[in-house]
Amino acid sequence: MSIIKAGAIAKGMFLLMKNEPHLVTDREFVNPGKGSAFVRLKMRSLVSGRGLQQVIKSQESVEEINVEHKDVQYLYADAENYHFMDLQSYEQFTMPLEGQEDKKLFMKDGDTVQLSFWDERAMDILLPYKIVLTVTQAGVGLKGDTVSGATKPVTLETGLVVRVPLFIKEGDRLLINTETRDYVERAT
Amino acid sequence: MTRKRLSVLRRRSEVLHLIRLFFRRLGFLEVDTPLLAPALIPESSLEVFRTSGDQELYLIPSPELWMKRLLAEGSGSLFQLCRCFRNHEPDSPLHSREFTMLEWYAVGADYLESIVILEKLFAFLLERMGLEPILRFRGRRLDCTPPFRRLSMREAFRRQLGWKLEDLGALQDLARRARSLEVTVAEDDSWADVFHKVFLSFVEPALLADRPLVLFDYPAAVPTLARRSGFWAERWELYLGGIEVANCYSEATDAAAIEEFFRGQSEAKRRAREPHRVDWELAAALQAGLPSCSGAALGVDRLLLALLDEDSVGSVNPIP
Repeated sequence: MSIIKAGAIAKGMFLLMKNEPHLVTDREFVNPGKGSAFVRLKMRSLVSGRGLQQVIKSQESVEEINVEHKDVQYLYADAENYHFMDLQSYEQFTMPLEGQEDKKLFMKDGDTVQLSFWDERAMDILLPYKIVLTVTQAGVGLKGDTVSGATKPVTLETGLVVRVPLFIKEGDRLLINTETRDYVERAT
Repeated sequence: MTRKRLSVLRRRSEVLHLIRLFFRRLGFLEVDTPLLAPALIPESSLEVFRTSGDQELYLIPSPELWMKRLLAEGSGSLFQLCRCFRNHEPDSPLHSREFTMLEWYAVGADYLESIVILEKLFAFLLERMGLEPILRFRGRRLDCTPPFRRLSMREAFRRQLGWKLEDLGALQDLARRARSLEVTVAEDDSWADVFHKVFLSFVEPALLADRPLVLFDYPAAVPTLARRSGFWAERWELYLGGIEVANCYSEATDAAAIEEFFRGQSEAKRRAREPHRVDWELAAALQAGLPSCSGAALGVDRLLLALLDEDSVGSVNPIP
């Protein structure tokens, strides 16, 4: 744990705010021109998943926390929790869905994923930038439908729906950008 | 160079030319004062660039120090277009460490009269550029038909939070209210710090963006060289599409208020990352003879964003 000035905060850092670890999801410098300079922070609590917005002075001190990363196996998700297994100790543990429900759409049961830990608690799922998913349902695109740029929606094995070119069919393996949720290309 | 980029640069050149034409027609004198200064007006929110070499000099964060000297010498109304520099403010789509500022001083005018100058400047630019008064900016309509929307800070806080700001003049009262909104109040926060935290968190993001907005009458507790009137100071800021573009005062001419500003801000400046020498000569000149006037500073790059519906100050500059 270390004390830093708010002016040094960057997106992706972990901070202890209001006694809870938070991931900084956005940071913007704001200078009202008079008095002090400020940073506007958007954060997500790694405990509750709740979003938190704060404006603090650039000169204010904040606590940066050290977060560890570990590879784990994703087992499944139920209505409230994600279930994982530690690949070294084979111990199973859970992590609340709240605030990162969407990550379900990018993980298949049995996948190895990276988690961040703080104080021995699982905090955040770190998705790879691109992943491969199989098409489970592909309708037929409407011919001559140039309004939608000649694309159609398909459903992938995790339930994720993406727009793809018309030639994509069921069983195809697709490369997906996890940040934009967009189709990139057909995986070979 | 792409045709699009060349067209943006031509528009930029046109805007600079039209601004000059507008102020000359009003009878304002154009000045081009130094970009390097041996001492500056202390402003705790700004960090400056310092030169190395035989003499320590600073790149100006605004031409105010020079222009007010000229005003105090009896120059009459002035304007200037120049580069300004602010250190430790990372470049972003809306900000660059080096940017172009339009600064004008209207002698004999107050801050409300400067709003009219601003509206006339907009009308002039739009007409001469062949643009309709209804612009599209950041995916929304921006109706620049005068008069611009005027909103007092008092009313902005009342509407957004139901607070009567002038009843919260004591730091502990304001801090208590702020904490009730989950605002983090630090031990060394001044009244102005807490005010800004609340303003930037809840009030500024909710400002209506469909017309240019003049937010006026800032609390006098925010340290500025604006003329005070009780709890409030005669100051406004212009917002275009939710982005702050200009700042204006009825300039303080009261010797005690000028002294208090320079002393307080010099003290605060000691904690700055880039401390600098303070221009006490200017303080004396202002106390001795700054005429009653209104000064405004407008970010030209941000103005261009709105006029050209661009989204990054880099894209409206010759060298991004």
